[in-house]
Amino acid sequence: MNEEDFKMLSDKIAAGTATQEEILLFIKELNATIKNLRNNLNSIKK
Amino acid sequence: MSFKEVPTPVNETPIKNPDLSTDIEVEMFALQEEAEKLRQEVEALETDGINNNIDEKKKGAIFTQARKITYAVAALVAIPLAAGLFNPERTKEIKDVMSALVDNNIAEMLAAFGVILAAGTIYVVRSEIENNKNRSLCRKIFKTMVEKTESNNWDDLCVDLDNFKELFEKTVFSSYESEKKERKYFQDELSAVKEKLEAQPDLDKADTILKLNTLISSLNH
Repeated sequence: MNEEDFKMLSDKIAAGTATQEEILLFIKELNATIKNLRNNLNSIKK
Repeated sequence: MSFKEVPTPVNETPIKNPDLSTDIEVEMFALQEEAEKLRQEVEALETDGINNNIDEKKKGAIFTQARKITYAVAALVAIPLAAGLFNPERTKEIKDVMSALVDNNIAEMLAAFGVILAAGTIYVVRSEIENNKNRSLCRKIFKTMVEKTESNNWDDLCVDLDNFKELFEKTVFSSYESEKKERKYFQDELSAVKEKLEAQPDLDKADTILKLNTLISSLNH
């Protein structure tokens, strides 16, 4: 999911108007983002 | 052009959206574990241990990922299932991350990000994770078991019951009321499973019925 869509989804969740399906999608996406960030951080270590 | 209103058929049962709370909860625990690993890694990552000649594309990806996580922090606080597990009082650190992102400074961004993670924004006390994880897995196993029996799949029911019992015994509840409610729910569902199993012809079910009876009565305590 691109950044803009993710931001929109986050705003919707923060506003309390998201459906369960959207919340599930959001958490899965966040999980994948954290995994990717960890991989990227590991690859830039000296 | 005009549109005709289509009348709702009288005897049609409306399609109910499935309850995804268990799936959300399970995914949430996976998320917390992933966030904890990230927290430890960021903590261990010394700023001078970062390669300064980072590929621009990779740098861009890191910033995007960090921004996405920053947006998510505010949203997570609003999810009832995450309430109490996430600390909503870290707005200053989140602002620090955002300003480091604006400055395009990866070292500052990581330092601020490390503060957020270490400060407990997306950090949960381990024992709380374990307790909630057991409760959540318990429900997940139970839900799958009931779904299997609803579609007449009786294989592995004994194994599923053992797994459920083992996890249920390890589960810690937040209050007596919630434990009582949970026990009642499992009892009712297990009684329905038992009733359905008893009605099945040609099944060697004596052992399973005995196991079900024992489990149902143990839930009384």
